[in-house]
Amino acid sequence: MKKPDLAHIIAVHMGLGHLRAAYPLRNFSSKSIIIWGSRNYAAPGEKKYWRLIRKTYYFLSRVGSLPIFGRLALKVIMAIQRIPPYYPKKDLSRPNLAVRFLKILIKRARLCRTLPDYLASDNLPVINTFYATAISLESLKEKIPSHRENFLIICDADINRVWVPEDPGASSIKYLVPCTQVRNRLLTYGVRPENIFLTGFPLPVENVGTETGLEVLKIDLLARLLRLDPSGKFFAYHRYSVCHWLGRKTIPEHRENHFTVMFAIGGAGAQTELARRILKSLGPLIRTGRVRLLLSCGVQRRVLEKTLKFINQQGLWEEIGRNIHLIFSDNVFEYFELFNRWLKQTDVLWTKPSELSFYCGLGLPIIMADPIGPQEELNKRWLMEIHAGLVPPGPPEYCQEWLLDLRENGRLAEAAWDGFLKARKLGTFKIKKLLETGEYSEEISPLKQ
Amino acid sequence: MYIAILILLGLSGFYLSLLTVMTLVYRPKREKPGLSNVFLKQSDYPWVSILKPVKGVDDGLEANLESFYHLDYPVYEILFAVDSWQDREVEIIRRVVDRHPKIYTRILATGHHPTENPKIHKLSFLENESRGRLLWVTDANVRVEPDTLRRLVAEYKTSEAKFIFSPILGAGSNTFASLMENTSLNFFTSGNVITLWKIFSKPVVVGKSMLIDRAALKTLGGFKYFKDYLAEDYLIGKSFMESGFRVSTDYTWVTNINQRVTIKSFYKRMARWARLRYQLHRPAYLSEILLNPIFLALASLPLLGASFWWLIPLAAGFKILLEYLNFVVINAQDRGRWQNHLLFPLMVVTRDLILLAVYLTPFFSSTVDWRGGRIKVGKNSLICHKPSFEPLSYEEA
Repeated sequence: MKKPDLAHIIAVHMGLGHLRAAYPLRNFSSKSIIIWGSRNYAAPGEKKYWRLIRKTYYFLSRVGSLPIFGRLALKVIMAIQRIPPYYPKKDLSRPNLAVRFLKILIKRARLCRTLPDYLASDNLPVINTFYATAISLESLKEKIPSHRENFLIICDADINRVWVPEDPGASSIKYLVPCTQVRNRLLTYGVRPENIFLTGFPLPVENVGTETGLEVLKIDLLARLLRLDPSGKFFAYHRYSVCHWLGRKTIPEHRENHFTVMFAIGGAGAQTELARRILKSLGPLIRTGRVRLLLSCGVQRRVLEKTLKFINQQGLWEEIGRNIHLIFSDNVFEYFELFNRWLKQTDVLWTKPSELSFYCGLGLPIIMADPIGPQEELNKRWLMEIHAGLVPPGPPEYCQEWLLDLRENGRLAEAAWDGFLKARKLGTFKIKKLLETGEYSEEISPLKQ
Repeated sequence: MYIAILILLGLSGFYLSLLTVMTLVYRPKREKPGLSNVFLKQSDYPWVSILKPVKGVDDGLEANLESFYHLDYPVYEILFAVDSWQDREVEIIRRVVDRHPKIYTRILATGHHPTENPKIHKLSFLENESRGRLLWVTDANVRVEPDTLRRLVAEYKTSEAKFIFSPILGAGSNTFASLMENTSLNFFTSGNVITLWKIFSKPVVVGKSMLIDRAALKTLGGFKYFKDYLAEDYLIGKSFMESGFRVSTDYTWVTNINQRVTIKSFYKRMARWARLRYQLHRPAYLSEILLNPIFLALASLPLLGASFWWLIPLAAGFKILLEYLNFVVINAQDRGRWQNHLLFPLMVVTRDLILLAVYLTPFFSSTVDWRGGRIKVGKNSLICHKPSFEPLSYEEA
């Protein structure tokens, strides 16, 4: 029998972050995921706004690496997305410029005005992964049933005031938050505590297993730890902890010589140039099979072709399919499927601290590329706080040297283990349970949070 | 104004002369120095899979297909893709295949995908079924010489390119419109293919013949990578270049047989190509007006005054002369038909006036007629579907 729908999932295409948050929830609705502002959704007049916003976002993300103009663009990004310091704690509920601008977009430019029409046929809850759709839905209350629940998944470890409506006390938006810092931040923005649910970021179930067993995660993690600890330094410290949490009696003695690094270039392709430097450095290790490199090129053909060009320039194209794998699809959900599949074999995830930061919960050590924007700065801080993220100890040109050192002294394995212990990994299950039963609980145990 | 118009006409004359010289220098069947020394051992030849998507009964189809069974090449297979077993062309293909049992051949009925480039849809199937290290994609209206494949593979080996393209020789003109089509191919299309490659190293790929390294194509995900675009040939060449793979041509021509073209079908095909070129590279498309000096001369009259009437016969005469040179040297098959010589001046002028109308079409419509359907194309010739077809597709910013 067909399962009833749990919710409408609404994402926007603004980089991959908001879509990635929606992807694990795709089975909550038989209509899959609504990508608002894409060719199929939104009125023609509205699409042009989304296109403009998206183009601006991509443009600003890409030009960041340019010498003068890039720095200026970065400053613009920082100013738009500025997140005020959390300490000293204070009331931050007063709307900022971004909130007012969003209000103008909704009222004057009628952003998302046809969204309620798409949802009119039922009264299912709505899960948004982008603030604009959630806030628009709330402002168009007259067009939607008053008791429809309106959830918003937060995709970063700290957020700008724009994620919260002008009058947060009166808002009925329910926030599904990935970590404690976001909860604290929402409280300073004036969101009522009963509207905040510390569920964790929704991770792909195919990489986790079941809610109670975490079978897939445990198997992948143990194999990863063995590959990341060739000298046994990590297990010398954490053997009993690993056995306890992963439910093992013993740890195998066999160690493999190779390991796998995944470099995520990012939805806007901002990190493409970094791929060239990594390829140049890791080339010799790739040829010998000591390192396998997965290059996640996202969904843009431009990024894939540029990456291929770098591979060719390094004379490594014959390694494609052997020790180099390209993760690409022009269909965003096919891409996520591929990405998650390759993630199971990944030992080190090299990425800017985007929403992928929360994937450390899968027991992945994160090598952090330079962040873009204040929210990524704070994601980076969060990763460092829980010891799951590592700042590269040297330039990418020498990653051949420092990656091996980090592996040799057990730091990568330690980061993987800390991510597993401290980051939440049951976000998808907790959101599902909340929708199905209305129940929600916060746990401390690494296996239950 | 006077000077500007003269400069434009001068530029036009210069570029058209360049096209003529290039096509004459790199004419079909010219002797290539050193070709015979490229290969010594038969075992050096890589296995080639010839992929032939077929739709409808093209002019001279049987003879065209037959030419692929007489290749002077040791190891190859031929794979055909049709929409359905009921298609008329299936019988012709089978007839040819039956005459050559020693050459491994397969025919696949791939059906028709409503939202994908139909040719790429077929090629994806053929790619999966093929065994060759090299894939040679040729259209059904293409006829080749016995040494064509050997030459292309020689270029593949010597240049280390992963993609080899060819100029197109339009031939078989039995009607006035066929002559228009074929001269347009030989002068305008192939002239640009050769000139832009020789001078600017810019590949202008026409899908009539593409020799592709299978492994390199696979890094992009195979033919499927191009499924959403109509100008797949141009984009394959561009993607290979931008991915750092070497692209090359040794100017080995393949023959495109056009015998029974009508004015209407000529106009429709040219209009389709114009709309695609417009979506692929607008500045280049806009500059194409330079290739029509007859129009430039006509358009300049209101600006320069009636005393400059002589510009029109001068431009027309110059264009006819260049094209006639191209025709006589390149198109050995058609130059044997006296009617073609007689009609040639009239054909050039008529065709250029039709091409002016064709040139304007992309400014009014982005919908193309192709293989029985009407398809709206966007940037880079992206196929724009009805919304219900693509709820999950990614929209490039």
